[in-house]
Amino acid sequence: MLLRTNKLAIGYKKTAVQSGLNLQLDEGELVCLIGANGCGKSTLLRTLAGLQKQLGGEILYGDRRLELLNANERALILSFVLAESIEVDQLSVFDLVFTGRYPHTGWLGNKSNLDIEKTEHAIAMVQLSHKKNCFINELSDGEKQRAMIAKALAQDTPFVILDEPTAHLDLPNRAAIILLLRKLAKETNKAFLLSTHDLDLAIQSADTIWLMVENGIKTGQASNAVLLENIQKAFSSDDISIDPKTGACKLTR
Amino acid sequence: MLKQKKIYNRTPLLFAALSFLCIFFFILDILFGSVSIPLTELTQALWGKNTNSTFYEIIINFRIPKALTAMLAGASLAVAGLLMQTLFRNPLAGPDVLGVSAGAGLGVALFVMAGSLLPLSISGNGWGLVASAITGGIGILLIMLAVSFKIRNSISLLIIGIMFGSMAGALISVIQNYSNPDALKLFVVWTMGSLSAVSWAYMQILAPLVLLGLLLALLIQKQLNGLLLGEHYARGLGISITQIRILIIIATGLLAGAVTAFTGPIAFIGVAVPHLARGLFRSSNHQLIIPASILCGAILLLICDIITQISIYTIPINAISALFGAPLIIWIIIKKK
Repeated sequence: MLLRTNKLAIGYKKTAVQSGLNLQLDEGELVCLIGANGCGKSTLLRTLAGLQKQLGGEILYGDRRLELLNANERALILSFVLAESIEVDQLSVFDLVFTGRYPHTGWLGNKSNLDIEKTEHAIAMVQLSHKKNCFINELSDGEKQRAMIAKALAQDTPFVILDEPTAHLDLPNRAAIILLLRKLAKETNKAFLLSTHDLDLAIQSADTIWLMVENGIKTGQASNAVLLENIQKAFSSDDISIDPKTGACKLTR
Repeated sequence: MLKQKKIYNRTPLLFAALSFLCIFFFILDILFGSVSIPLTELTQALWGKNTNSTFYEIIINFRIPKALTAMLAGASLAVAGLLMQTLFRNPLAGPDVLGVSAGAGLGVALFVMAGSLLPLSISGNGWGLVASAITGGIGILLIMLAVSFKIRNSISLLIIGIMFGSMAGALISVIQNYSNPDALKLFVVWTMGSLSAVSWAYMQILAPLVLLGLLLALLIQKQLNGLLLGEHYARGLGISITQIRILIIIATGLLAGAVTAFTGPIAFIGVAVPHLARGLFRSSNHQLIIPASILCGAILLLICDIITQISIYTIPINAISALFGAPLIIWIIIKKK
């Protein structure tokens, strides 16, 4: 299945943040969305996830328009991990990840063997099996993020959208999360779209980079020299310089 | 592995223990009172053997309806509190804190006292009392719901709920000022909360409403679990937020409204019991916590009712439930820090 947008305009109320976006996301692909604060990354992800209405244009999952899908159909096509963290007491990792199975279960949400198996498998894929009965508020930030990813995996959708999954994490955990997503994209053949501020990690791991600038999105493979130059232009300032090859930043004194 | 074993073995055992306690206190509640009843009389009465004694009269027409009311009221207030806590994602939410009880009180006040000014004598009508309490309770909930679409912050929402509760309280005072003494007395007695006001005739109204509300709550447990993760995630799981909000409000209105109508406002059970249930079962899964809240709520209110009987003069149930519930909530908050 393919996600395509056609002259998509996004924003709040009547103010468009971005318009004329023609994007494409394919199965098994890891796409990193990068861009400065406030340029509309979250707005784009929320719009693609169906959490807010687009101002114009269309979003197509396969050949079906997003706004014509009902809530449950949508939940079978895409899952997401939001930037806001969840605060629930006494909720075990297993129970959290199992909620991902809800679109597949009946009205009462009773567990079938298949659902339990898929939940366990999703937990195993993010290497949290040893903590499946721990409460989520006992987990570290990195583990919590992995549990949320497992929930999205359990939902078993062709598209997974993640809003800044590496924020609030230390460097080893950031790298671990991005590498995990990369591995999952290849193993599960799902499409992963994530926004991040970690330029270097994005450039080194993504199949495709979506660079959001003030008036549109420039897309290309991470090895594309023109794109890298654009990234350098977008993020360099008086204080920092960006190495165009790796995305590493250096303070200019 | 050890932890896993502990959790899964605990659940059926806990349910068995709670069920036993519920039956135990049900019987105890029937036996205790201003007149102590011998156990043999109770067993005979329960076997349907009419001994024609005074005991039989007391058991069948007074003690059993009262104990049943305690169970129904405890269970439904607990579940109503749980629904409110999940809807507002706030551990301190409950039917009384968010103004449902105050709204029901206002409805009853309007009905009993303002109604007494009308030439028609409708105040003694059970259906009218229930309808006015439910209408008042749901009215406040609808206002809160409308506000909750505007205001995302649950603490602000809670404060607004308390403000609406105060406003309803103030309106009640105004109405009290203008009502006749008989109606005023009827209302004041109602506010003290009493489980013994429910006769078998009223039970035929109360029980179906409560059971309907409980059934509704049990049917939406999957959506409730989704709501725990917040609205966005719930929508991402294919749950319709508007639909589930409306269902929660109907269920809460039925449960808290019906019970409050008959027993008067009973404080703190709704806030405290869900925490007790979650703590006991170490889970937030509504599949477990709804039945657990039903049992814990029933047990707690039976215990409260037994305590009200200890003194010669019956203490209002509302006072006992507050004495029990308030420290429980304080303890929960301190433990969390």
